[in-house]
Amino acid sequence: MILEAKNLKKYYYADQGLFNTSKRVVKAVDGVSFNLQESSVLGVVGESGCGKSTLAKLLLRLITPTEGEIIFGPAINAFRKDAAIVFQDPLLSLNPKMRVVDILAEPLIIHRYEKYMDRVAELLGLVRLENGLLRRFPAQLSGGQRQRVCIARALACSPKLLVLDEPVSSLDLIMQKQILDLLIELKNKLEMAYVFISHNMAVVEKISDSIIVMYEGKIVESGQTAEVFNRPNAEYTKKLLEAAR
Amino acid sequence: MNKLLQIKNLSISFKNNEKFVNAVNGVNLDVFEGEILALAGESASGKTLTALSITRLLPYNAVINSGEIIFNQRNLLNSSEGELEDIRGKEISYIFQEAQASLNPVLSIGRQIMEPIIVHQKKTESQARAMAVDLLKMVKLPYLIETFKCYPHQLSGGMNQRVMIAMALASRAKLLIADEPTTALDVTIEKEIIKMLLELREEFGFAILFITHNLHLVEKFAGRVAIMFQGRIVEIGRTSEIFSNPQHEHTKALIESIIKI
Ligand SMILES: Nc1ncnc2c1ncn2[C@@H]1O[C@H](COP(=O)(O)OP(=O)(O)OP(=O)(O)O)[C@@H](O)[C@H]1O
Ligand SMILES: Nc1ncnc2c1ncn2[C@@H]1O[C@H](COP(=O)(O)OP(=O)(O)OP(=O)(O)O)[C@@H](O)[C@H]1O
Ligand SMILES: [Mg+2]
Ligand SMILES: [Mg+2]
Repeated sequence: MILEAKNLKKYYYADQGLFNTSKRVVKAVDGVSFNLQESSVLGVVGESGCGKSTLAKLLLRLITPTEGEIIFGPAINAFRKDAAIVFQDPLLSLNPKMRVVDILAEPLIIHRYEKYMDRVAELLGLVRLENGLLRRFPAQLSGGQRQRVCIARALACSPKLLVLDEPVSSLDLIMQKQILDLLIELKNKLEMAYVFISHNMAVVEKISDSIIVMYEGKIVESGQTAEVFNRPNAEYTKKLLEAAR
Repeated sequence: MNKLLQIKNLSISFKNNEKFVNAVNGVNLDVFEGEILALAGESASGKTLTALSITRLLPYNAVINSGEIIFNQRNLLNSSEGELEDIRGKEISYIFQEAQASLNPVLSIGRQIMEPIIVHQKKTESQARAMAVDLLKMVKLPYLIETFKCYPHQLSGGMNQRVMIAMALASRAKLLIADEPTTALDVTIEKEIIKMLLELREEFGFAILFITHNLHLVEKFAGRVAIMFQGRIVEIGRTSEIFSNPQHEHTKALIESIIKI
């Protein structure tokens, strides 16, 4: 096992206005538990606002849970090196003042890679970007190019655990397929495990071994991918699959 | 049908390391009143730049080498910044590609939607508030009162995308330019939002320039489609014809990829 989430919760408190002192609780993540095995992929689906990105940030300890815990397996030694994330909004997650070359080199330098420039060139090739982009700033790239820079950055130190939040949403279908194939290949070769968030059911079906379906912060369905796709139980899962046709 | 917008022979380049690189190459594109025209094609082919050039929102280092953009009998490439400012708020509105990053991080959601209504449509504070609440309802955002006071970082990716859509709809523009407007939405909400856009279009008659890599949506909703590849439009025509009989290699590859994922 590489990761175990135990009854994870993240609550936010929203103001209800000047005179109403009671606060409405936004239960962004509300009691989520699962296990993730080495070299396997857990797909996470669910409607907009159901807590997927919050879960992603919890798993990488970027925000503190209101309750519950996350346990890492022995494969995760050096947390900062062995676990990485691709955020949902590429433009927001890239430092606007850094050039692509520095964005990709930064994690490598921190983790004392020798010949890090070779690795930067290799990463660029993996995500099908040209060398000419290295001197650019994030704002000078197309949406899909930015998304691929984020993926390359996350792959830089060959993490054992990778959380991907809608990682191919801005890519055309040909590029989506290439990036998915790349992720699958790397996973097999380097024994990586992914938590893969997407609203695209076809993409999730292709890459995931097992799936959780979230609704209002809770898991409403989970199981092996084929099982969930062939015999959905929860109403929401049926609706999702229906709409995807 | 009348032409609402004409892009003629548009070329855009960038100066990179002292040499100019072409990003958009001799693009011709007409948008007719009330139509839905999809613009699809590979990543980095120049779709966003073409869309941004229409009201000259291009990045500072971009150079327009040639072209005309005719809207209301005027060439927008020669219009003053003041005129363009007016057109952007009133006649041509945008849903930008990366919603969260395009919203103002220090303004509440409600304020962001109200502000252009007050400025461009000369509404009072309370009228604008009422309109903003209606718009948020239309894009299916839950818990209106709190959402109104939230800041973008407190909302999910798909919620921000819907805020962006609400803002664009506020203006009642004649042309809505939607750059990947539903990438952060799950299929169920995507369907509802598209349905709502089509209903509004029926009611107000605006045209939509719909940039997307989702060919399912193109096939279902766009009357015409243009395919972009390496800075050029390589194919354009009625959607049904292009899907049943694609000519260009890239179009063929794109259509094949629908089934392949
Ligand atoms: N910092 C925050 N403060 C307050 N509420 C928040 C915060 N972050 C998220 N939320 C709320 O938590 C809920 C879940 O948000 P989250 O971003 O996890 O959704 P999501 O499943 O990723 O949605 P999407 O598919 O639209 O990206 C939403 O209602 C959101 O408004
Ligand atoms: N400010 C800039 N400086 C230099 N090159 C740029 C700049 N902005 C965009 N480009 C380049 O212009 C090309 C077209 O970019 P554009 O954003 O129009 O692509 P796109 O078709 O919208 O792609 P995507 O589907 O990935 O969003 C890309 O190669 C991009 O790297
Ligand atoms: Mg999200
Ligand atoms: Mg784009």
